[in-house]
Amino acid sequence: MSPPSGAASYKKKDGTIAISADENSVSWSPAVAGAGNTITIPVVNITNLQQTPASNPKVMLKIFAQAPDAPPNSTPDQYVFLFTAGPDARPQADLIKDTLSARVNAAKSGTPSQTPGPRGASEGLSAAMAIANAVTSAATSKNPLDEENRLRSDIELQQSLLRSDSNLQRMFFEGLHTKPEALSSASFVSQFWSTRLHLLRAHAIEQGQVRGSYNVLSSLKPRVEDNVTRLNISKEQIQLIFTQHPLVKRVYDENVPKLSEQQFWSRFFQSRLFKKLRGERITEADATDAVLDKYLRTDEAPQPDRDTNIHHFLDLAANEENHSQRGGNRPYLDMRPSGVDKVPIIRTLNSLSEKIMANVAPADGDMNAPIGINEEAWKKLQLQDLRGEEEQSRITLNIRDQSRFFTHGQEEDKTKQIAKQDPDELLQILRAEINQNLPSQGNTQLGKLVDPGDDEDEEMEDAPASRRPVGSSAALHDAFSQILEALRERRTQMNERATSETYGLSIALFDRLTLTHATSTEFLHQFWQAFLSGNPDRAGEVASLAESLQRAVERIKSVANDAEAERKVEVDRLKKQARDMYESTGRRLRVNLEGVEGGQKVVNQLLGPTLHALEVASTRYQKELAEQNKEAALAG
Amino acid sequence: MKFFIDDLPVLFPYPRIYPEQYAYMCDLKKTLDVGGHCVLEMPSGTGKTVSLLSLIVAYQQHYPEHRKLIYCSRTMSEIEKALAELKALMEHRAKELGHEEEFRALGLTSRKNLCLHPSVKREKSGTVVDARCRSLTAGFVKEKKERGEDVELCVYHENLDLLEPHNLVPPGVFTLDGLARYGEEHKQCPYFSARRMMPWCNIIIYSYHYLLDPKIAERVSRELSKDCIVVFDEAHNIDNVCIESLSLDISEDSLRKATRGANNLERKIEEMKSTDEEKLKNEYSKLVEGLQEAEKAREEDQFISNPVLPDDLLKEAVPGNIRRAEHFISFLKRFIEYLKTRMKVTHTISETPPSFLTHLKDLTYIERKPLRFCAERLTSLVRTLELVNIEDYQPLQEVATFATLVATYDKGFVLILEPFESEAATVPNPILHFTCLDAAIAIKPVFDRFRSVIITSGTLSPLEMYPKMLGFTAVLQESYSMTLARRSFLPMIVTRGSDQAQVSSSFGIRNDPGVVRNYGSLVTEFARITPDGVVVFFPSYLYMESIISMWQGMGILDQIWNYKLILVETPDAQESSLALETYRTACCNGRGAILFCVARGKVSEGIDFDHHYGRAVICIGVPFQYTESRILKARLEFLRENYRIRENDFLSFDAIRHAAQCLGRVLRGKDDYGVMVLADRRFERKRPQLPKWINQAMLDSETNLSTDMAVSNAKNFLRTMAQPFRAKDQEGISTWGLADIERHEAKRKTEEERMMREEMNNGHAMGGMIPSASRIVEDEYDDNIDADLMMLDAP
Repeated sequence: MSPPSGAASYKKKDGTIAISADENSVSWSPAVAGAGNTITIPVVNITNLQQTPASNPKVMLKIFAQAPDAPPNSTPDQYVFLFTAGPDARPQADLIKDTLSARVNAAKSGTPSQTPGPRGASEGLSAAMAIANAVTSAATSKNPLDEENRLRSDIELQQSLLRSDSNLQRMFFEGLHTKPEALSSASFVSQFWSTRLHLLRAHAIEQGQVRGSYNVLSSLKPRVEDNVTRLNISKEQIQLIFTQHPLVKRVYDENVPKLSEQQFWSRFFQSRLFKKLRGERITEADATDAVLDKYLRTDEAPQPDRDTNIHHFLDLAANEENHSQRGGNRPYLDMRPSGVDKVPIIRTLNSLSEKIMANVAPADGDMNAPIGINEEAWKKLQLQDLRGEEEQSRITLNIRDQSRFFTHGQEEDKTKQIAKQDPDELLQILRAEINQNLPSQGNTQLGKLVDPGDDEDEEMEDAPASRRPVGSSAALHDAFSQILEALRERRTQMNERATSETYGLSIALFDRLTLTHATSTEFLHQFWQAFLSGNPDRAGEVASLAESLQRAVERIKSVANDAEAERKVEVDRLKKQARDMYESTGRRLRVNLEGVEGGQKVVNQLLGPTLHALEVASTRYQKELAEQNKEAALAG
Repeated sequence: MKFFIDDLPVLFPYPRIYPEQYAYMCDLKKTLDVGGHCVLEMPSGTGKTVSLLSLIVAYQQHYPEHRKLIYCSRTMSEIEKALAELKALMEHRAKELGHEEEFRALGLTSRKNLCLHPSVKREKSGTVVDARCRSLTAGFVKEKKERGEDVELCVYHENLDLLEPHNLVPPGVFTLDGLARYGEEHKQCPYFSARRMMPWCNIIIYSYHYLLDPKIAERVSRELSKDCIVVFDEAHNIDNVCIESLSLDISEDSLRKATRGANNLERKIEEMKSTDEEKLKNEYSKLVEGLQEAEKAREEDQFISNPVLPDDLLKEAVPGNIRRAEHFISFLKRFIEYLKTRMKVTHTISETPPSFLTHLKDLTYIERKPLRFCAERLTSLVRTLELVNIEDYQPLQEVATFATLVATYDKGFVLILEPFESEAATVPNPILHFTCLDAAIAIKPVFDRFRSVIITSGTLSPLEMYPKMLGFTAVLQESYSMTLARRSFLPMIVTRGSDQAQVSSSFGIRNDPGVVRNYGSLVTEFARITPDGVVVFFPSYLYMESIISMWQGMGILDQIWNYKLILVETPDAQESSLALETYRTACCNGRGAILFCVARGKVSEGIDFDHHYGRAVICIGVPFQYTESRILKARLEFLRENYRIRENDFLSFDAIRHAAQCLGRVLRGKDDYGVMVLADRRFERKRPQLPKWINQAMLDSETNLSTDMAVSNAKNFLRTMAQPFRAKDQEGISTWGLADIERHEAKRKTEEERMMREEMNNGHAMGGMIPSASRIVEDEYDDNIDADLMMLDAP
């Protein structure tokens, strides 16, 4: 969707008001150049919006803006735009106003996702976190485009990804060094990442993964050193204690200035309070503590909310109440649970586990949502292995404008051809054909239909492939050999040797080769993106990219040359060996020079497709350039 | 998938079927054809419910009788699950048949679980909900309203009167949830909608109690016809439910409250005498005509229910000495005073109902006959007095129920008066237990009344125990084994700890630190190696509490914390539910959790730990009942004398069925897998009593393991299970397609023909074949089982 814009006059000068593509500013530019300055108002500065009511024939939008660094009491600047598009004025104005007010509200509420401002690194970190949060928690879905923008601008994240992936790093720097001058590094970087958003996203999620919290009190073990009991606790552990036991936080808050930090913790770990929090029974023998014992009676956890809805399949309370007039003798002593006070540990275990799991979305749906069997619950009931094959859940890809994929001429010709034909006649032909080919109620050999075959003359084989009738033996033969060819190729690619070895190239050279390949692909990619964008502003960029394609070819050539040189050394070595052998033993050693792998040939073979692609790109570019030049010449 | 069993077309909602499901359905059909009762033990997690429902729905829809199905299950969770399965089945049928069948199925649970009234539903206790509901819905309350008095009515209930009485809810299957939602949408009471729609339902799913407990059975299940098909699912514990429904406790406190209630009633009677004596007179004359007439007046708005209503009782007139309200109250008071004096003993007394009655008569001249009418007379009185806050009279009702029960049954009951709560206690806290010893009493009317009763569960071994205890003959009893393409569960018996010392929960050594430590290291090890969820079952609450405290002291819990979150079943059901939620969340999340619960507790019934919710289940100790309990002792004695079931046989049967039930919780479907550990040396000798499907899966080498061996076995097993396993691998072996069924049928037919021919050849053609379905099972206890094997390890 293109950003909203509309014809509007400002200070009685006609022009166009438009919201920028990133929706971060609104700008007005005069229709006639020089008839006034372009006005750009950043969204963050907008304090208020006013619009004429719908009944008013004049459509006006008033924007109040104030620079963030303006003194607090200064009156905001006012901009009044009169929409001039006649009947379209109202919808245009509405669209602009709605978009702006949405943006302004978002900016005001301070959601960082909406204002990718120049805050740089700190922002970047938050982006990673935000994504991780969005992924891990059941948060409201955010605009995926925003997320992409954030990923793209998150330099911290990109660098951390580069650090973790050395291959990518090498490719990145290689690309950065060999990029054409005309291309700024910033745009190179953004180009580079635009195709690797998935990697960034994966990395952001990976970074967002943190170890879940654990029962910290149970992991603290004092040890005895030189008859002194020692216990080390880390900052993280203290933090965990505070989150898991808010009571400790409170106690700490209220007492630590009075007690020293160290004192507090050493007293805490020996106190009855500590035992209580661990769920241990407090005995008379336990040391008392004047400060901490005060908190013994405070109940740590608030009583759980009794109004939560538990799924019927799990609702033990409802199971107990299933039959309200339950009779029966009471259970014997050992089946009667004693009070919680006697075994405090049980409640402690549950509440601790619940606390640790508190920030995880519950598996059985939101407890506060209305009860109801949902799809999930149904599925859980089913016997999975008796079910049939899973239904494919594919998303149908709808291509709106399919004609783009066909050359127009053909399409039209065909339509015309079809339009010309008489349907009756066509049907007759079709019937006749069916009668001929399927004489008896559809009982016929399929082979015959496909390959009308032997009786047909062999001449057909010489006909160009495109002219051969479908199903003729020659065409079948062609298809067969093509499949075999493909298989062969595939096998070589799958061949372990091919992946493990370097085709006779030295490792250094092979690395260079892969890198060259990667950068070439990268430039190709960028080239096509710019080339196909059709954006005249990018013409310069395209030109420089075309140059860099040339350079890519040269780089490949240089790799090939080096490879050839390397091979030559090897060949010479072998020849020399053979000569030495001949000289020393008199025996003529047959040197299999063909067996020496590597060299130009291999490089060219390996990079064949790339070279081809580069060539195609260059020719396309040249052709287009020539045409445009011609046009320009004509026009000029 | 659609297939035929004989001439019956069955639509099964999956494209494949387990062979045991097919066998189960065939046997079920035979039983239904022949008429009679059967006992079927089907391995846990092999889709028992769905097979049962598919077959019976097919049966209902195919044959013109349209026999109604009454499906009874234990807990609300299971009722809800069955309803959900049924709903899915009917959807499948509609899709296959191309049209929706005219079909109704509803579930019923207590008012507490279904109530929508904004203030009543907030009540914590089920009895209070019942009472408040009645006070808002009773007929006389409505009459009062019509007279213009200012009384509150429940709008949800009132709205029902605006609807057609036979079409309160549209046809279809409603889960309890769905019904509540429908009720909320249409502002109508789900509980009464379900109750009143029962006669028009093809399938009713509710708790056992609605059939077994005479207090409710009479009202809720009265209209059910003889040819209904009755299914008791998860019936391994049915004898205890039967007993429970006819037993009660009376404490000193409840007697005090009963007296207060009686005094209140007295006051109310006085009040009514002065304002509206007519009503009391009317009641009197009605009572002369007999309870039958009184019965007509009430429908569902009955206030206090009657425990037993034998037919003769209905026809007879209420005895004269309790016909007048004030006479009845003084009669009751006298009875309560008598009970109070009985409470003042210092030693335990155990006596039979006749001896109790004799003593009662000697002391208070209270006869047996008026006593029998107590409960019914009280109901009538409460209704006449138009009392609203009847939860205050709960204890009084209990006493009246007790009076009726004790005067009705001579045999199979015992009264136990315990002055002290435990051996060690010094402060008396007397309790009068009125205990039913004979499970057959409560279930007898069910067997008498219905032609086909099906008792089924995952654990019913030994099968012959049930017909014997419940007093019926089964036309078919069968235990199915589990066909497996891979060994998908690993049952093991751990007899020794890692230090080779024996582990056991027997009373002698259960609190021995060595044993506790060994159990602790077993649990820690399994917490370490098992992914996701681990469930640990303890034999009793008391033991669980003490062992967890000891583990805490030993630092074992701290070790477990390294691998899993720890959650425990608590006395509070709601708290346990929350713990269960957390447990499941941790299992899904990958954090993993371990759940400690009790083998006979709340979690063990009706909560599944399928797939990652339970990759290992550990049964710590044999879940024996506490043999020092007098009630249990009395029951054992009764079983021995009346049914020739030896004490130790019963005790170990009871323990093993609960252990097996716990083990079965972890399986659902054959793609599921789990480790099952029975950790007690006494399990080794009890292995033959395990259900067939568990026993068959256990290797001999795995019946006497130490902790280390068990852990390494389990590790191997889990590693194997982690390998990919596709549905294709088990096709034809543990899952059948349509072609497999046909092959199986063809094979069976040729086999049958061959048998027939052989019979003919042998000249036995005269007698013909005994149809396998009418195989009458010898109701004789199988004494051949090695006495040593069955010997209970004396606690």
